[in-house]
Amino acid sequence: MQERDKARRIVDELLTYFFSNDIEEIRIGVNFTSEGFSVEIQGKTEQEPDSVLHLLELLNTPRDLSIESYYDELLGLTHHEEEDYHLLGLMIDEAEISFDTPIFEIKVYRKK
Amino acid sequence: MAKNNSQTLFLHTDKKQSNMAEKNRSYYFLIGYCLILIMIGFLSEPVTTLWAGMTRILTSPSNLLTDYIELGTFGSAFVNSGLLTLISVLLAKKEKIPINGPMIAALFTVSGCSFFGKNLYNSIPIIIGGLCYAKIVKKPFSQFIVVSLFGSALSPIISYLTFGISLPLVQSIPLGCFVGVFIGLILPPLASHVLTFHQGFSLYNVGFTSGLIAMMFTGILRMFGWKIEGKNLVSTAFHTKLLFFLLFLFLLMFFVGFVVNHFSLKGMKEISKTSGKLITDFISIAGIGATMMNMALMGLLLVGYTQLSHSTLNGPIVGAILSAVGFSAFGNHILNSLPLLVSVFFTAQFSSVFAVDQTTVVLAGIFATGLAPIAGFYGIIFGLIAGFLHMSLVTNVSYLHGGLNLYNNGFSTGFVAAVMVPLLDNILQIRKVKQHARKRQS
Repeated sequence: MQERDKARRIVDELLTYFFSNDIEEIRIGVNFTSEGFSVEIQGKTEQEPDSVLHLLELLNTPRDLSIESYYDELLGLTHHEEEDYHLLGLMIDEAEISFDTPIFEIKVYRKK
Repeated sequence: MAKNNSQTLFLHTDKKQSNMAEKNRSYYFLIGYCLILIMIGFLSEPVTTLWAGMTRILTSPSNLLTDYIELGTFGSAFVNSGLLTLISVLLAKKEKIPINGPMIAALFTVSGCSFFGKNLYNSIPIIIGGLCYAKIVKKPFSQFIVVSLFGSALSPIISYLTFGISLPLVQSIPLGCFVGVFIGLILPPLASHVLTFHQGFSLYNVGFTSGLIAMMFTGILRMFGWKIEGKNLVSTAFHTKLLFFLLFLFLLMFFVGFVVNHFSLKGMKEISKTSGKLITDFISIAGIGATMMNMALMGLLLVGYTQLSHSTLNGPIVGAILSAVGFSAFGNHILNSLPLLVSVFFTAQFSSVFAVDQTTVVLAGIFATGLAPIAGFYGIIFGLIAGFLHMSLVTNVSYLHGGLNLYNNGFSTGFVAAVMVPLLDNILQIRKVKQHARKRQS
């Protein structure tokens, strides 16, 4: 799968997280560099999502190339469960989650 | 790592790769397992008998169901499984792959299916095909090794072309190897894409992919007049020995897991809470110790199932148990697997054409656990329905590939999941909308 397609699927997965937590006025930025790409997604919510620490835990999954290239097709399908955020975690190198009322933001970075 | 108050929150990932000692420990466990298999083989019979058995295994067409214990000997089947798994483990070690759930599932599948279809001759071309694919797409082979190991499901095609169609060996060996390399080459992109068909609800994804390839291959061969029919060569004389082997293996596995887990059951609860949907890596969730204990418990459950069915243990059944135990590092646990076993058992019991102690029915029960994510995600009732559908489908799909796909059950679970998942999602979505509307009215 090409990097652009991976970026599209990562955006899809993060966007679903925002939708499922009723976050509104969503803005998305995707930036490609020679080393990789970053995705920033920002929205407004009055309350910090309940599952944010669990999300961080899942995104903390170490990058694993041996699984990634086989299972990456599962990202961004109809189902968006815990397992899919785990998959997202092993496809990225870094993630940042911030909340400064009412702005909630997730940034992820993936090296090529 | 975090600065947190009621207004602001900042979190950053802190990814830690497993250290070298941990990595090596997992490899030593796996190498130890391979050595146990090889030792059992060598201690069971004289080397000359073993060699004769190995020769018969290596030169057999190997389509389903060819029990290597019956075809070769008890010892040669164990040596075949031990050697092939050892080579796979060493290959993974050479590629510096961390031992994770999918890798354990792949290695135990190699080990299990080496009791009824995989051997040193027919598995290597598929792995070479995977290597060629990696070269073509200019990516490291480590990214495709899991698919290549699973992909040896199609190894009977190589053996069948070499030893099953009466061509002289000078022609049939290159033909078999060429087709094997070609299969290894097309498998990685296909297997990845096929995931979207069942959306990760069948654990045996390569089984389904291999079924599709074998179905086309069999169709082509049949079109040119070759007859490809399944076999039913199974042993009956080694039940007690195999039972002791399995019990010894799973008790040892549980004990080692318990020790590694610092003499606790920590992590088992986390494992049992998961649905098992792809990808659920128990090593990442609960660590190697808890994963080993889960694998052992699943193994004991499956052995219990075979005893309850009054079936005679043979190569394919032992192979199926080992494969399912491998997937107990990658999705299967007792809670999500039991409904499938119960369902297959009762479906066979009430059916007029099946008997619960038949090898194919026992295999259907054990491999039905590939649909465990359906029971884990949608609930027990749907797990029971999945088991029923699998039992009704599995014996029908085997004709399509003539036994050339070793993961016949994986072929069937793919279809069952692909039919059930969109329907269940639809039903649940309608139910959710209705509940939401009711809430708004009240």
